[in-house]
Amino acid sequence: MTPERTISLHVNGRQHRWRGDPDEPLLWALRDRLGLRGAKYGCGIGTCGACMVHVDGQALASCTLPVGALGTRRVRTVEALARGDALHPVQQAWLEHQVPQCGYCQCGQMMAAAALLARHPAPSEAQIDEALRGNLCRCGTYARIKPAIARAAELMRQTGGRS
Amino acid sequence: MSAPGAAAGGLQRRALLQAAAGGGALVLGFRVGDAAAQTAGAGAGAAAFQPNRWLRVERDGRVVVLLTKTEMGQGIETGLAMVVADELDADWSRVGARTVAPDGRRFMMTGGSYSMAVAWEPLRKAAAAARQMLLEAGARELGVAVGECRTAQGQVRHAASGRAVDYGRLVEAASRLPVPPSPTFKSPREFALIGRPLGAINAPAIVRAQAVYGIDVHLSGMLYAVIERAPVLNGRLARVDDRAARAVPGVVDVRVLRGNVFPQSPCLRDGVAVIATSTWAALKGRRALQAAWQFAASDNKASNGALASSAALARDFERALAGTATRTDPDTLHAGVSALRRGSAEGLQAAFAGAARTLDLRYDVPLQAHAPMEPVNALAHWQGDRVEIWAGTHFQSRVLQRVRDLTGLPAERVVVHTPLMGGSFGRRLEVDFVLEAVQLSRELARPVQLLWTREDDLQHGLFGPASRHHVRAALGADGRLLALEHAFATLSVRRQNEPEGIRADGLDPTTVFDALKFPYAVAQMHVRQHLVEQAIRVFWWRRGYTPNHTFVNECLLDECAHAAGADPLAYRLALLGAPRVIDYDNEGDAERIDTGRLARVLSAACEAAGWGRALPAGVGRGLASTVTDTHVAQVVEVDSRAGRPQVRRVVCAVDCGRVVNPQLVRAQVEGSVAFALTAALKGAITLEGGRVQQSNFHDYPLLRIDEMPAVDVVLIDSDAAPTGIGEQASHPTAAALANAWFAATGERLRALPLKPGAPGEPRPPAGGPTPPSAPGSRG
Repeated sequence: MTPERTISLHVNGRQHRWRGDPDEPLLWALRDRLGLRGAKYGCGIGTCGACMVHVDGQALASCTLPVGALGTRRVRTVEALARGDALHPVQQAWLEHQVPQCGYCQCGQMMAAAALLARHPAPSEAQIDEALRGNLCRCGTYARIKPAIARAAELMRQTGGRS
Repeated sequence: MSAPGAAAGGLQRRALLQAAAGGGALVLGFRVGDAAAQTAGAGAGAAAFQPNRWLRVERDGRVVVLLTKTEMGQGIETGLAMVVADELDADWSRVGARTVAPDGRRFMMTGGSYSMAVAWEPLRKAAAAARQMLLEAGARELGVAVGECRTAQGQVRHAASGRAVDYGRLVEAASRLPVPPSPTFKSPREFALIGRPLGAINAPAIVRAQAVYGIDVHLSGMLYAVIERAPVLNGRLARVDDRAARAVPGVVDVRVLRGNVFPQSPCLRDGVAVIATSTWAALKGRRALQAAWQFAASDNKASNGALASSAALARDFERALAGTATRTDPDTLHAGVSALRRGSAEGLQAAFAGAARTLDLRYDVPLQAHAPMEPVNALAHWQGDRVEIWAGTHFQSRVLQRVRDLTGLPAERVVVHTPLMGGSFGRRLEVDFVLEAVQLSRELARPVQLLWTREDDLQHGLFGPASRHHVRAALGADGRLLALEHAFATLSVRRQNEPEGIRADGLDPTTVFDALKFPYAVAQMHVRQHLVEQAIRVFWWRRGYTPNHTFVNECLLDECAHAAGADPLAYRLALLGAPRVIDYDNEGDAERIDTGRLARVLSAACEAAGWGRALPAGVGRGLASTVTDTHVAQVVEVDSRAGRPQVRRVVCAVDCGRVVNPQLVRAQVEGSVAFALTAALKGAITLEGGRVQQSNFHDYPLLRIDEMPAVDVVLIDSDAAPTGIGEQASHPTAAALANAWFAATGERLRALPLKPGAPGEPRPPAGGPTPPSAPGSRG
């Protein structure tokens, strides 16, 4: 059995002293311990993307990411996507295009989209497919995600870009 | 009330209509005495104006629509709130909605895509009555005649003087007025909200990650539980060594749950629950369990889970269809029952004898998983003489009833909160997971959240019923359909869950209804049902057996058209004939097809899809339709040139009566198409030795974004009362795709999921059978 460890977690610009099993996936540490429940459990094996967060700017499945492997890397969760009342362009576009149905997967979808746009401010359809094909949606909102990403890119250009 | 037989697919519409009216006929009785209604009529000091059980107006002017329907992604919260707000002349920016707690008197269930159809009239009446009361109170407040005032945007306005008073200020005065028994409705020309593409009420909370799903509910001191269950149905726990599990830091307890403590939910099997202070500790403890299971030695396939297998099921289907069932296996194969005869045995024989051409076809539909993105879970807080429950369920009445059966607690001591659900597709009509959470909370006297993992969901869950169909069709020299003989074998959801709903002659009316709902001209039509039993739990999956029979009937029509050398659209329109209304008896209630409306959506879909226009070789279009109140037709365009079906475009024409919110209707169509494409191209649950062979999304893949076709929705203008769209558009897609594949390749695919080039089928023109592969794990 892995001995407990004390780990310093960098989440949404704050440091958290976290004590526990270093094998614990970041998803459960965020949800059960830090009270950040925007990342959702969907599969537990990194195939659905509902739990996606940014780790040093990269969108990763938090359900297969052990807390002990994070080191000093910076985690950003969907709760920190908006800045106060100001929605992130992706969130704004998601609203304009009315993407969510049940909404359960959408935090992960938005995190994948935000990471994509930070890397490619004007992504091609192939880049969107590549970046979002790890995010499942059982309600089938895919048809709205693509135009919403294009709209978010436009909003970011208008506002000088931010992610 | 327990509403016998009421579960989405099999529910009786009459019961539903009564349910929508509040379990009685009292929509406009405004029965005071409802817990929520006690402030109404209070007059001075009233906290809110609540003339009935459907809405309240707060003193600050906010309007809260009180729903007995549950939101799970289908947009019903917004749709119903719009109906109320419009008729009330409320200010939409100040309208909210919440799902009420079930009270044990009102039947509370959401399913079958009926919510809008059954709520439209009662909600409008309730809101119109409230508007009339507010108008009267407002006129008095302004000291003018009622006739000089009008309502708009949450205000009573007096045009002549330009003065206005907010609804919130009329709470007390309106509460003192009598409720008008027959209020006047707005005319549709006056609708301010209905028909507009408004955003969903809960969308801002969802994009801000503030929406609370069942899995997100948190209570201080709560524990987290997962359950290791017997790997096969009806397996028993022989012994368990839980020492290693208990040694995992955070594990609080390990409890054996016997499946038979839940006699009302026979789907539950023996299990060992690990309860911990975090989800991760519970999962880790579960992995450390050493459990041994024993399986029944019985050779009864209906009860011995270890005997269940896809191969055995296929064999039993074949034997049932061959008619040898009752002699060989009385326990598990039931005698065939003829459900309907249009014509006579002699007529059928004569039609086949005189046919210019006959078709003899077999179709196959596999077991399907619901796989909502949020796996089922429930939080229960046992408090000695009462229990509080937070669970994503849309059958709250069943929760009350089953918790009472389990614990003896009367309905008023069972408090059910319904948080937002991360999808359901029928799964959350069963309440097994709620009972497990209640039982664990009772044993531990702590709040316990029970989580089914994705593996639990796929392996121990409930599945959409598989079926095998044998269809014979006789065509005349002119190609018209003379006779249809359809025998099918399936597993019965009702026999497993509500056996009292099986008819004395053995017929399960829910399995045959959609086979019989065939509006095309045919003089002889015989349908025969064969029920097979295996220890496989089947359940409502996107409305009963509609997906199965829509696939069969809609492929069959296409095959007949091609056999007759006719264009599939022209063939259908010819068989539909002159517009008329046909009522189908759905267990005492009429379900209606208007052939004129059906012809219209068929033509509209084809027109928008460019039906008949040339396509590149290897690309084809296919047509299919369905009617469950709402008339839907789809054209799928598929590209076969890569050797596998690549769906490029789906056009869907929808006549759902008056469109309350076009963007929500479109969303449901887009989503239904995606859901259906998963089933058509990928999804299948298979069993071997009683064990489900799929376990997670790597081997039960869902459609991904790069496989999503363009979806064009054509909404038909209509003044008819609105009908549902939650799942209707998912029904024709598989058939439309199979028909398109035939048009593209000449290859007929009659088994779902569609596998081009499978053994026994002709090869596609190019490439081999390479289904899209699931991407590897990320992260």
